[in-house]
Formats: sequence, structure tokens, C-alpha cells
Amino acid sequence: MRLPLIVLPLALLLAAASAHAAPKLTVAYAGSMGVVMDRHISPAFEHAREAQVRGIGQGAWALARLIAAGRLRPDVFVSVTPGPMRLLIEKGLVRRAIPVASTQMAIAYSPKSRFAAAFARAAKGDIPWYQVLESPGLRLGRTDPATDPQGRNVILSFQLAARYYHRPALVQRILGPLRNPRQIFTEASLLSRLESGQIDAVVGYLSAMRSHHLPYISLPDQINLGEPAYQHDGYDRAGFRIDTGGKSVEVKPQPLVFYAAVLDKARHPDLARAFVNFLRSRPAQALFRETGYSPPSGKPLS
Amino acid sequence: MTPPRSLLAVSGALGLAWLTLPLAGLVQATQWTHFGLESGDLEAIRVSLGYTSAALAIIVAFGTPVAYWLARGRFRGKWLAELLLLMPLLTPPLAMGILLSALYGPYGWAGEPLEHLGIELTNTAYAFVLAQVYSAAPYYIVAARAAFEAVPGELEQVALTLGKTRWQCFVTVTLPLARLGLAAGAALAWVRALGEFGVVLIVAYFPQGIPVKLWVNLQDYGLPAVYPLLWLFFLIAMPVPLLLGLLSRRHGTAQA
Repeated sequence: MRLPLIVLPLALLLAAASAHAAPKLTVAYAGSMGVVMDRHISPAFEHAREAQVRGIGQGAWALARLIAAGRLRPDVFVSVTPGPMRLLIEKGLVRRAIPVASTQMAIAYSPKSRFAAAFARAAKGDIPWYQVLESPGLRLGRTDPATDPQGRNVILSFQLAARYYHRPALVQRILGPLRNPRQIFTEASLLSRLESGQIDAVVGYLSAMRSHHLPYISLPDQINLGEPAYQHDGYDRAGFRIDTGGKSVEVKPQPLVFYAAVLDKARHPDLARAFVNFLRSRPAQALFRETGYSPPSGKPLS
Repeated sequence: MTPPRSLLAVSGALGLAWLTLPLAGLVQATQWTHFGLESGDLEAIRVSLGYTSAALAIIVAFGTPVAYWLARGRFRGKWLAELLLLMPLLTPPLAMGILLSALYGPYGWAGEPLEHLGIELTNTAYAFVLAQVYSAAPYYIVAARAAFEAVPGELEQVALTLGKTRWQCFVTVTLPLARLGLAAGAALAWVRALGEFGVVLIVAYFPQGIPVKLWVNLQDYGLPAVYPLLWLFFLIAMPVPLLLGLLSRRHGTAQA
């Protein structure tokens, strides 16, 4: 009696499944944190605790929505800006979120760009950066302000720049419309385009730029959204309205802080708490610093 | 030893049921009382229908000669041509998107000359169609080639000896006989192109067709906003394969 053919795929499936039987900690984190989470923090935690960590990197809002709808059940969630974390606190899925790192807005440029020399001079402070970005034919990239905090922060930061440098037309001249189809790409698309030299510059989080070893131009504290001291006396002058979720919402600057929290329905609550505590520990903080992040600032959310 | 008929029916039904479970989940998850489209959804449907039709026309126009050449051609290195055809099929969509963005980007060696002609292949309708052609053309070519190979070569020979030109014999003999397989290939390419997400996400975030709009809706509104658009997606994706299947089957039985 020969075995029916169906036994073979089932056996393969079982073999594959049993290879992954060890308990695992699932960590969902803001997409820009890929390098530090997957290559540094998770391996260090695995080494210290003999646990396995599965990372899910996506847009922070998308993750928060999936978790809120019960479609994604991570043990730990790491968000950038308080917004996505607040959504989970309101839904009663998270009790307390603690700051683990922070960052600032900056401008990364492609070493292959024909404007690379001008960018390098701007990075040294010899010429103003907005002058380079206003060059005709320069291609700038950013993410979608309708769905991504990073894309919103680009606009807020440039609004502050317009005031700071007394150039009222700066936003219109460099960014154009809020959702300018010539500039807006997804995160994965932006990075690959910048590295292959298909766009000249990207505005985004300094942490991700440093993690990817890209040359960048720092922005002054008054406009980079990363200095809590300016939060209530400067940053809050920026703001715009954008249509999202079927209604027009007012976007105001939120501190560029990364918050970590244990989900109430975590499958491995003890391990999850250990992971969040680990993010605040000295070795993990050193890893954050090495990959271009700034120290955590501000109070926990609850 | 052949399994009894009932066993075949049961296992067939089980397999089908298992594959349609997600659809049952969709019926259950959809909020029927608040069934409505979000702003921009209709535009996404228009984009998907219009540009995917264009992509399908391009795929059939360019893919049919390639398929016929692979089916009938006898030349050295044919195995290499077949392997190259499988490459786009093998390439994971995200990687395909990245390769296309480097090739057709404004400073890419194919993108730069095209840009001088006024054809921008980044976040434009052209880019959208390009992404779909790359992701779906190999499916059509593989299916069309099999359809052409199923046509007995003797019939073409007979037509040729009757004084028909090669082109006439292709149009009057080969095409009608391969119609069923060609229709199946076109249907497959249609659903494949319409649902393409990975390549499109990298190459053409704008204009937003249905797959990308689903992704944006998830982030903007949350899950309930995904389901109504998904229903509409099925509604507009299904008629083409059903119609093609129906037409070719009607003719098929008439011939038999």
C-alpha cells in the first residue's frame, strides 16, 4: 500500500513547524528602527536571556491600527512620537509606555548625486542647506504625510525653517503641495532610491540616516523637532491640516521620542517586561547611541 | 488503483473549502451596517481598472509573439530564453520594484533618455503600468506558450501547403485553436496585475490603485475601511476571468 501523496506536503509542513517550536517574543516597532532593532538590540537581548525575538517593522500608525483591531498580537510595541502609543492606551491595550530613545529631523543626501559637493558644503555650514534644496532639477524624497509621522514631521520642520530663516516661501519652493507626488515614496522605496542615486536627498529621522551610514546635514535645534526645551516655545508654532481618515486633521509637532510598552495581552508578559527594561539598560542605550539615536527624553505615557 | 468517485469529490470539496476560508472570514468581518467607501476609493478603482487594462493590452500584444516564438522556434540556446523568461517570475516583488526603480529612475540608464522624451517612470501612470507589465507578463507568456504548443504542428503545415501565408495560417488556424489557453493566460495576467502590490509600492506610490489604497486605508482609517474596498476589488477583478472562461468554454464545447 503506497502512502497517498498528501502525506508528503503535510510531513514537510510539520517538520517546518516543529523547527520553530521554541517560545518567541514578538516585538512590533516603528519602521525606521529596523537597523538598531534587528541587528543590535534583538541579538543582544537574545544573547542575554536565551530567548528568541521576532521583529515586525512597519509604519507606527499601521502597527497601532492592526494591534487595536486585534489583527496583530505582539508582546512589545515600540512607537515613534506619542500618537500611535496613545491610540493603544485609549483602547486599554497598553497601561504605560516609557521613552527609550529620541531623534531629530535631518537631511540625508546621496553620495552619487550631482549635487553631492554642494550638500557637503552645506553640511559644513559654508552655504545654507535650503539654497541647495532649491536648485532646479534636484529630486527630493519624503514619506506620505497622510499616513506616516515622519512625512508629517518633514512639513512641520520646514515650516519652522521658513520662520527661522525668514524665508516665507521656503515650504512652497522646496516641498510644493503637502502630498506632492513627485516627492512622496514609501520608506523602503526612499532608501533604495537614495542608495542607488535615483533621488538626490531625503528629509527624515537622523537616527535612520546614521544607521544606514548616509552622509547628512544636521538642522538647528530650533527646527529639528528633537529638543524638548523648544517644544512649547517654538515648535508649537508649526502646524497644518491634512485630509486623513475621511476628515481634515490638525497636525501639530510631537516630540520625536521612541516609546516602548508591554501589551496587556502579551503572550510572554515576563519576557516582554524584561525586554522593555532592557531597552533602558546601559548596554542597550549604548547600542542606540552607536546607531545614531539620542538619549530618551520626557515622561512616560499612561 | 483508482480512488472511488466519492473520495475524489470529498477531497476536492475539502481543498476548495480550505482555500475559500479567508473569504468566509471577510464576510464575517465586514461591517455591513456601516458599509461605505472612503474618500479616494473610487479614484483608486478608476486607476486600477484603466491602467491595468492598458497593462493587459501591452502584455498580450508583446507577449503573444514571444510565446509563439518559444513554442515553435528551434534554435540553439532556447533553454536560456526560457530561463530568462522565468527570472521576473522568480524575483520577489519588492526586489523587482527596487531593480526597476534603479533602471527606470531619473538617473537610470533607461530612465534618463525616456525622461528627455517626456516619459517619467517614477510615481506616474507610466510607472504604474510598467510595474504591472513586469509582474504579470511572464504568467501570460508561460500560459500562451503552452496553448500554442498544444496546437498540432501538422495542421499548420497543411494550411501552408494549401497556399496560405505564414501570417494567414497563424490567424486562421493557430490562434483559434489556442484560444482557450490564451484566454486563461490573459485572465491569469489580469488578476495578477490588478493585485500587484510589492512592485507598485516601490515604483508608483502614486497614482494609487486599489492594492496601495488598501494599505493606505489600513493606516489612515483602520481595518473596517479595508473591507468595503476589498469587496469592490473582487467585484471588478472577477468579471474578466469569468467572461474569458465562459467564452472560451462555449467555443470549446461547440468545437468538440
